[in-house]
Amino acid sequence: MSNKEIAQVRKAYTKGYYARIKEAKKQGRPVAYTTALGPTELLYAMGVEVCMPENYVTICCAKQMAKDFCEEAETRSISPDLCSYARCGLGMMYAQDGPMGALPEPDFIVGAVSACDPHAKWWELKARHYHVPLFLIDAPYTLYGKAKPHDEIWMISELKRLADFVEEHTGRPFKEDHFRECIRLSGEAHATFAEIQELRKHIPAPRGMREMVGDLFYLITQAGRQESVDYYRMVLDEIRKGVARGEGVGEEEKIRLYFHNIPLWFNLQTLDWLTAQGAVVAMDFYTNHVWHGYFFDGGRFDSGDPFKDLARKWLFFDNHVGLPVKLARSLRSAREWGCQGAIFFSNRSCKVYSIGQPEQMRVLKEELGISSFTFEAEMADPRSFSMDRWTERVDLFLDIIANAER
Amino acid sequence: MDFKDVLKDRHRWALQHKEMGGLVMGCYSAMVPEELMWSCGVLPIQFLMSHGNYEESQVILPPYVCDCSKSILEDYMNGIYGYLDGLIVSHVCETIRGLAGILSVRWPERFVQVFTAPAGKDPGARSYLKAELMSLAERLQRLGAVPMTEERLEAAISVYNENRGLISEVYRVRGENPGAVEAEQVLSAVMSAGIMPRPQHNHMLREFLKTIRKDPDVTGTRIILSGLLFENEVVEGSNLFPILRESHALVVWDDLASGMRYRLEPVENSRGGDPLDPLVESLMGPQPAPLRSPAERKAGMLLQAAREYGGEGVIFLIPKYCDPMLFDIPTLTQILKEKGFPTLFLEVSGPLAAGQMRTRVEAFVEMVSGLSGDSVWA
Repeated sequence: MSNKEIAQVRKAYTKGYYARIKEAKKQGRPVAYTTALGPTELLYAMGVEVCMPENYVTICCAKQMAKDFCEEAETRSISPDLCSYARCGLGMMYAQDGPMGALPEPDFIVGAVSACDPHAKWWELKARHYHVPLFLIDAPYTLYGKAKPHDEIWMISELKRLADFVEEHTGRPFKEDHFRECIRLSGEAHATFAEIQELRKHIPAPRGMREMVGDLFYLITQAGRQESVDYYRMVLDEIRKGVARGEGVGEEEKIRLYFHNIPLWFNLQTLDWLTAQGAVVAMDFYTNHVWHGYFFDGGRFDSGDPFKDLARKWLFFDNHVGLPVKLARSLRSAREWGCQGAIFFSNRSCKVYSIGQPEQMRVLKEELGISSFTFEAEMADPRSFSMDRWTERVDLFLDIIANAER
Repeated sequence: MDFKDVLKDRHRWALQHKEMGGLVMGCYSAMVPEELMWSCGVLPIQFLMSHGNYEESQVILPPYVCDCSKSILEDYMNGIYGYLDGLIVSHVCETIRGLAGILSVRWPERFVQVFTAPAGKDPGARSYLKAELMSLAERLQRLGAVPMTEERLEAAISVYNENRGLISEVYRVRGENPGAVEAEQVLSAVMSAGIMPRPQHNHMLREFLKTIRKDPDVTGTRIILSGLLFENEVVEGSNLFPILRESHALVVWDDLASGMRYRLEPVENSRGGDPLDPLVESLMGPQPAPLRSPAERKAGMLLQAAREYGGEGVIFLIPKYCDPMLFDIPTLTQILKEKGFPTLFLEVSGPLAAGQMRTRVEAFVEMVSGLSGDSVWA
């Protein structure tokens, strides 16, 4: 199965997933809006259908509908300086529209005050709009990546508090055996995803960032479900076959790149353009360091306590660790995946990932001799980006790397 | 010496404390355990910020972050805070966490902690916060601070409680007699609390309160300020206050990060128990910082202050790129408008410019005094 055929499987499933949410609402099953961080494992274990407006925004971007929804929010006093995920998501809410129609109304909302400013305040606006209960998960911040025992205990406490909240608002009792099974499935999905990432070390890389950001859909929205495990096993099998045949993601791999930040969802053609130039994004921050950070650092769901496993996953999201950890992860990604250059997307819509990028560029240069290219835009607002200008500048950057390699 | 003089000579107290062998910790936001630090012989000082031509920091910070972070980093890079033994910032926004990360990488030998005061008030959060405070005391001791004891902590809480009481009294007196004391004086008093040892600050506040005439014959439109004003806007003379005076507007209360957002509820008496417990209670739960408190709560506080002191309109001074404040604005303006309180939104980037602001503030005050009850949105 080719990468394109795998993408078709994923697209069909995504469509079905959004239909499933609408059907759940019709049938009276609880629907929760959550931040893209989840925690899906706990919610699925309690029979709640998870709906992530951030994910819906990415589809909106792909369908070139984001600009209108951003503008819709801005007419409602939402500042254009705020996160474009939030603006587009709020615009869809106000307009009651979206790429597959309006999302069904939530029964409750789960945000995360610890993750970033919008992950608390955006959800507050949604909860106020729909008049539904809001639960904000709080979490410690480990600047140096070393969680203290009481950090973990509090994170577990927050997740248990969420289980109580869901019970209270849905009447569905928490069942540990269900949760244990969802954690097992999530752990398996992450472990398989880690194997896929490992295969990207091959030259030529069998899967680039364009494919991986698509794959990530399952890790974000379906963690804790069998479908995520099945999908990653299928991808892993296909990639192994491709590697055996010596196939790469592009026709020719001249340069291997590291990409930092969220992709430009409204213009994933930027990644295709790179591949067409022979510049493959062999490793990227977004698919490896955010949801998958704990696993990327070598962690696994093996404590025997499902709450502890999920707490550890949360503690090591990129959003919850400091720059020293981010630096170490970027260095490892660029070094182990053999990257010769790096692209840092300075994302006006995501301060949590963008602040500290110059330090990362400096360290990549000092320790690995890798040069970086940076550009500024917003991941979900097409008004922030010019493809022509971008390709012109990246082309020069690729020339510099190619000359340095000679 | 008045409070403006304190701010003009802002490093003096920290340097004196260092000379006496104490540690000095740079802090951001009132949601840090100042009492604990003081009980360990550590002087916590709040970073004061100035608008300016940021140069060094521009290379490291992206352009789309607030002037607060740029100002702190600029001062750090210029060696202005070279005397600090470390910094403790409270998680009140993602930018300050990111800045702490940069400082930890740039100055790896220096102590850096991002302090999280939980927004919830549940047993798990309570246990976490107590453990975190004990861990902080141990880390400070390893840096050379005095060990924390119950007696020292009780004494520190007492000093800080007195300070809160005196600041609250200044606000009460000003709210009831807005012509008696200028807004700049009140803000200078609160800001200087962040850079002085509290015993001396308490003394200054007591003397300051004696000087306020309680019954001045001044009338005007009663305004509440909300958002953030930089220290140099207050010390060196902001364009805002003269315009307000010329428009016959009186500031009766504020919800400024540099003002009333200071944690003013006293820490309760431990009644013979562990004084860390009431300190934990004081630090956790909904907070003045917008990230850790719903906008409805802030709207309620603004309305309560308006009722108490006859406030007639609210001026929001919101720093550009301050996401938590910007997210709250639609809700705040809507709720206040529903209750009949007009609002004016001023986005602040760099010093408040006189020209455009004058037109807008004058029009707003005129509209408020005419009780039109509309919202003015920029």
